[in-house]
Amino acid sequence: MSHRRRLVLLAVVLAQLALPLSLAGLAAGDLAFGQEIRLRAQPVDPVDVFRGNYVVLSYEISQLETDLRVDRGQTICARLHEENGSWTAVFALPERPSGETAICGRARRDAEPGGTVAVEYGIETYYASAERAREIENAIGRVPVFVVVDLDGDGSARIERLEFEGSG
Amino acid sequence: MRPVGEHDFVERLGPESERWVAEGLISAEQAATLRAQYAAAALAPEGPRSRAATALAVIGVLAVGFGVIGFFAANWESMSHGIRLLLITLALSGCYAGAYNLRERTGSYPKVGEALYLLGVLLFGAALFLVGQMYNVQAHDPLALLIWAAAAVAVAVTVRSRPVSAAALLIFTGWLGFEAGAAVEDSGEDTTGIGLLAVFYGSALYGLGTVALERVRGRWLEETGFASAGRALGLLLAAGGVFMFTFSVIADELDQAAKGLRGGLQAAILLVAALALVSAAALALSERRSGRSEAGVLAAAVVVSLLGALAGGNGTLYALLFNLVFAAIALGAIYAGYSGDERWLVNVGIALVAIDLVARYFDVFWSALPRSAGMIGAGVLILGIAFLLERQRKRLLARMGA
Repeated sequence: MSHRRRLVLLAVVLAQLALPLSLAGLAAGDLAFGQEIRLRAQPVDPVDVFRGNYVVLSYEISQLETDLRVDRGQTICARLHEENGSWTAVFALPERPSGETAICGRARRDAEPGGTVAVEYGIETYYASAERAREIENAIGRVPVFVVVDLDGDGSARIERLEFEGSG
Repeated sequence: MRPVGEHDFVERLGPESERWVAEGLISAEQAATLRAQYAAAALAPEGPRSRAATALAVIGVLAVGFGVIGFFAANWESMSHGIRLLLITLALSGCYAGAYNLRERTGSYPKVGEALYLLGVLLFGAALFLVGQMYNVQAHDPLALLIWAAAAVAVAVTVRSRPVSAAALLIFTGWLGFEAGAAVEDSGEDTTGIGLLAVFYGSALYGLGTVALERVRGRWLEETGFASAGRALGLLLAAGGVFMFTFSVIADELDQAAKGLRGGLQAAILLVAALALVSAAALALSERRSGRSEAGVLAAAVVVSLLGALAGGNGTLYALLFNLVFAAIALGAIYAGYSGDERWLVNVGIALVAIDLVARYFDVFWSALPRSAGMIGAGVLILGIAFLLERQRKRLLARMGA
């Protein structure tokens, strides 16, 4: 193997090491510096072929009322307000309102004015071991489930942990 | 069996032989003969023992890879994030270091080294998904497959490894299928569009791979095996897609498939179809003996699929057309394999003929005959096909060997 190809191989391997570590660093940074809020959730439990067991979550804010025509994939934001210890929202906005607590995601499908739009925020999946997934399954329906997420300045969110009412 | 470390030796031979000529040890003609001889030996097909060593090493690597991922998954909860990241880093760097040492530096176990490169590529993919899991990243899953495929291509091209090239192509194909599947699912329309994509993408892969082998003279293409792997995968995908539509019940849904394809997905599928037609045209213009026949079959598969999807019409008629195209693919593979001295093409063609005959039997007679009579008939048919095809295959291969 020539010297040049040895260097290329080294660069390829370093890039492969750097990518997962950078993803982990970015995620850890978001969790450390984001604004923490609590959302009420309703989980179900499928199995992801790549990542083992996980819980699919939907939120009160997964369906928002809209006065605008929305195209699938369009960025949608929602102004959040606190209600009984958790945060919620009602209306879809085309952009993030400045200076307020807001969450942004993408429209799952087209929506007409006066209807509702389904929004995906990137916090719909919570990974757990098979054992933990079963515990979550058993808890669903018995107690309300909350998800603590960290909000970034641009409205993007990342899951920090799952909480059950009464367990803090 | 190739001598150990021959890749390095062939690379060194170029400058060394020039030095020998300058020192008057050998003539320029002798140097050229030496270089040509060793280059040909390095590209010669592997012997059965070498192939067995490669296959065993790859199987071993897959077992270790899945074992490591399973171990991580089983003990994941009890490890801190730091330990998890450290394990991922150590596993990945250890794999590549071992591969480099065994294959490039010492050349002592090149097959095992190559298998370790493959394991490194598999672990990189696992690392992406495991980090995603650790931080509940709801990344667009297909994107991770695309990044994984790009990393595999980079390793395959750098270390010139056929197993890694094949893995890269499979991962890329997985990304394409996943992306198309997600888009069709989002649109809530029929999933027949995936079959169309298989026909177009498979035809493009086979056509481009064949043209590349004919036209591109770089040794890297031969050493990485991208073109060969693309041809094999492309043929299977295109034949699989066409086979789907040989059943009238599926061909009936072809025009529905077009409705499920819109926006970016529609543009992407049409682009792949255009690429398949361009590759067929290039194949027709190549000097390959069976080039025009292969180009004709590829173009027929793409055009009939496009017509069915865009113009719609009678499903039974399309099923009949796809039956003809499938038969042309099977017989065309046998012809191309025979004229190009490619045994694998003959074998694939014969397997496709057998699949077609059995499928048509069940398609036509199964509902018309009582179950037990149908089963007896199917068994006799399969045995007959096996006997005839085996006899024909032996004759063809013997004639090719002569």
